[in-house]
Amino acid sequence: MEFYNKFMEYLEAEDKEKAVFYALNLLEENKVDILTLYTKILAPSLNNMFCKSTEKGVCIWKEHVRSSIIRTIIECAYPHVIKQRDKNGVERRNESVVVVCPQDEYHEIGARMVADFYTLHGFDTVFVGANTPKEDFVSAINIIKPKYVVISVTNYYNIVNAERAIKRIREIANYDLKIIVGGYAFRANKEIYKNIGADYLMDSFEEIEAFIKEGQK
Amino acid sequence: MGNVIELKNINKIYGTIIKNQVLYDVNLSFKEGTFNSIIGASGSGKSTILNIMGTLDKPTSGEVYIDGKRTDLMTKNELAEVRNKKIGFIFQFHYLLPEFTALENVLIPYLIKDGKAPKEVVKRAEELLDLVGLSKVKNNRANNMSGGQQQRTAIARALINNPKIILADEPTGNLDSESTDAIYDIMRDINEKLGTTFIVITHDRRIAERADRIVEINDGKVHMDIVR
Repeated sequence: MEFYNKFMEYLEAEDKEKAVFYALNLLEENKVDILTLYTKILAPSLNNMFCKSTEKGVCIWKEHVRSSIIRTIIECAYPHVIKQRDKNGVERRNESVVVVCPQDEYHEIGARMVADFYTLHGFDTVFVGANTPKEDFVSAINIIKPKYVVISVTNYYNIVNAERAIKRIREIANYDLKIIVGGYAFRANKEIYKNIGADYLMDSFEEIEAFIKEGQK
Repeated sequence: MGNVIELKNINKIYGTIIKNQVLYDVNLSFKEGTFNSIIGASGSGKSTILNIMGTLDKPTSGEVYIDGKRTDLMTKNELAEVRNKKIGFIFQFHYLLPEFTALENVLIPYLIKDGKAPKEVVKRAEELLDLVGLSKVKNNRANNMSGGQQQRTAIARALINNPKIILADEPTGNLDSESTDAIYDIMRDINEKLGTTFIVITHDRRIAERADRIVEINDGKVHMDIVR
């Protein structure tokens, strides 16, 4: 909580330099691990953002600035992800995971964090990111042959696009590929993943971790 | 909040010799005061659903409830009363009378009925035109207004009888993106200020993604029903 509060001070001031160095120092000094940084500091800092009535006209601006700071931290944390994986003695699994957001979905930070979780658990992770046209990523499926495709959806309208992408993946994939969906859009639509053809809904980082561990048994 | 519209096991078949079924066992309900969108490909059956909800068309089988009252068994006159009191319509094409002013178009239901609108109704029409941002052009003829202004006039007209429900079929289908945003803002404002339930058929992502709920119709069935 102490780390979160301090980080929020810098973030609310939109002080990128201090926010980035503070978060990276927490990793350097082993005060937090990646999971804690992502789930207890970075994700809440985005999810708990609210717009003051005096700032209504600049809400999206502020959200984007905040997202940009957090994206910098996540990208800079990548060497720590690898270090932590190796320090934990996690062996490379020779299995890959593709993490994408469907067409028109521009919120990708949650998906980016999820990609690192799979890396931490030994997967070769391919983060494709925001607004991926379905034809583009289905073309790669039979080449990369991922064990899982993870589709992250934030804007609930994009569940429709996720369904189209899943349908196309199912048509193209010539092996038993598992599709996982997650993201804010499913919070109020927990059962819809079955209707859109996904195999699993993962609603939190803890669930993802439990799922990966279960698969390792 | 209760359901202001309920469809139970609705089937719709057009034709008697060559039958064309366009709706299959549709069950849908909408809560009072919500802002909903219906999406789906052309020919999926979404306009038929809207017409049945609006009592403009009858189901072949199934039950329709508007504000708690079953309407599929009502007579034409009873249906007309339900429509006038409970439902306002907005279409892609505004169907304004070009030679009449914005204010007169909003008052049309009264002008047709009595030739003149009571003072309090004129006041309400002016307030509605103010609500949709047309106070300054209220005395302009419809054919001297932009497409966005015409559609805003049509929204004010739909509200003149203070309906509980607004059914809109592609209300922004004919508008550029800037006017689309303005129309959405007005509809949402009305929804929040007056508590009017909105059910909007749209192909426009900008409208659909801002609704409280999206219902996707596919091949005459409810394919997806998602909430924000």
